[in-house]
Amino acid sequence: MKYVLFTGATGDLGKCCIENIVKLGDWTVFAGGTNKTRLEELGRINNVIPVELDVTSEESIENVYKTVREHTYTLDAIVNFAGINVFTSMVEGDCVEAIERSLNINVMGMVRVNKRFFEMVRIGHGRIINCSSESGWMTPQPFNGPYTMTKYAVEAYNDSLRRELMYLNIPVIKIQPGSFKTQLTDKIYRDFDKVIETTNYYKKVLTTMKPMMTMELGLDHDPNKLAKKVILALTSKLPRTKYKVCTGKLLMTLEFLPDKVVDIAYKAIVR
Amino acid sequence: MSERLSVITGGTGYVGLALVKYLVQKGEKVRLLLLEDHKCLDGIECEKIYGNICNPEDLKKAFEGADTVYHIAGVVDISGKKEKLMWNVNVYGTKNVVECCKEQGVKNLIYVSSIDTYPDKFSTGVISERSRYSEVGLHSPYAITKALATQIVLDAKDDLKVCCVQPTGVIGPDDYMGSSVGAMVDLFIKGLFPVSMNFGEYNFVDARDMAVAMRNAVDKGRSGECYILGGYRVTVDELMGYMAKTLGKRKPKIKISKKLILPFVPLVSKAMDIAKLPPMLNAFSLSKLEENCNFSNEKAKNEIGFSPRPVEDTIRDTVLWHKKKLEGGLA
Repeated sequence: MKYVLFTGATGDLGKCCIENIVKLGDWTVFAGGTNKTRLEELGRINNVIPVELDVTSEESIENVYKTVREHTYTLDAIVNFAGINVFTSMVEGDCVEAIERSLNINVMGMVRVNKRFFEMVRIGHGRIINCSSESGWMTPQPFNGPYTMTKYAVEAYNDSLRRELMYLNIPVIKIQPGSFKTQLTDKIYRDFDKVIETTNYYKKVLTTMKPMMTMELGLDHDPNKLAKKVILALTSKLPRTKYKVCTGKLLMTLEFLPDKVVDIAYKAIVR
Repeated sequence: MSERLSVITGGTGYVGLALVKYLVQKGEKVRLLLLEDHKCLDGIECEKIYGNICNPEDLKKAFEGADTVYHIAGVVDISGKKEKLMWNVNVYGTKNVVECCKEQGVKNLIYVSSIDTYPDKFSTGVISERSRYSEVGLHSPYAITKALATQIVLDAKDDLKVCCVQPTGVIGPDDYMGSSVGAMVDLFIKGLFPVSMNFGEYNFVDARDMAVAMRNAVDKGRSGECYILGGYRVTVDELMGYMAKTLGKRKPKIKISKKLILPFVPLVSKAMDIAKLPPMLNAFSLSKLEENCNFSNEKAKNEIGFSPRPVEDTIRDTVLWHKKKLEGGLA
């Protein structure tokens, strides 16, 4: 039996991935998340051991460590899927708090989990899989600051970790998914409406932007596609350093343009 | 007192056999848990139960009515081919042993850990016992499994009396299972080991001295403690000298340096693999010879009466045993 610790298991994508991993047959998943009802649901799946995990709390991570150690001394993989998305201005409202919280979960959470479970992966000849995003390498969009910041940090963290752990023969792999319709995107819509209500400066900008954002986020990608890549990262003998899934085509085109041109394009939308 | 029953797992190995002989000679009741019978146990008065420590049912049968369990069975593999077996036997097997000891009301558990559980390879000071053992800083799967198993045993210290002994390089006569050092001695006797090395040092302990200390640990050892059973530090060249002296031969005059050996290591280890010899020379064993082997045996000396005999005696007995074996005297 192989063991994997999966953070962010209670998200829509996490749940879909876990269902697919368990289907492989020889994997046991420690599913870590904060949503209790979701954890209960996961617990009903065979070979899934739900654990309450808050990646911002050392104490919570330590408790999970103890639970995992009761089952196994080694891990074949850690999959870091825990993350949040906040839609906010970078100068108005409670943006400082929002950025701090995002960094704490998306980046520091990953660092904490990987540090605590590193030895188990090392002695199990396992691997570490970090979930980044297309936001981690694409040119940032306006009002998506905190998320982009964290995912850029995740990219840098992941790559330095990879180049460190390669000396110990531990593969470190990043997944860069595009946008999927999940509770994460639902939250973006909610945030969006909140920002539109409270902003002093961007009412017009945001109102014109909304249809375009809906178009990008509304793309109904099949989460099983992502699960497929995660499984590839988990099981491949020679895994790639990164796996891209469902990259947004519209956003991708912006990558080929110079920064100034992209700026002009974003500005032109509002006119 | 003499009616108490001692159960030994791994009784056919180096350490096990020395312990069996010592206990039987002391007139104690001994029961062995064996995978299969072995000729080395011929003529030794003891009860034999066949089974595997990976199977809790076998352990239950073996430990019934036992006062003391000496858990010696383990897998050593430095070739990297038997990692899974090492995990099953060394870690999960030991877990079974500890749990079965609790279940069966065994009073004392003596576990043979290893000196490899110390991650102080590159330190320069004297190495002495720690209070916790973990995989941190350990590289070889053997060391990792032994460290985890040691902690499993120590964690049971409140349920029964547990002591771990941590031998350095074990040598001595009665090498029926074919150890790496034994294979080297064989080659030397045959005259196929014509060179010495000008580097390398290791700490050796006599299996028979270990047996005495392990028996003493039952009465005198403190629960939850480890005891390093280290003998003497001997350089490769000194080892060759002692062996030559026993055989009345001349010590090899040529001493090769590490630089000279290094390029041939992969070739030689492959050749030994093909010749089905135990792995004597490979990257792992070579690195072992350069590690810090300055282990303190003070604690074992003070608390469980460990008294290592002169290393010269050990090597003499070892060489003579191997000579006898090669001449067919043991068949």
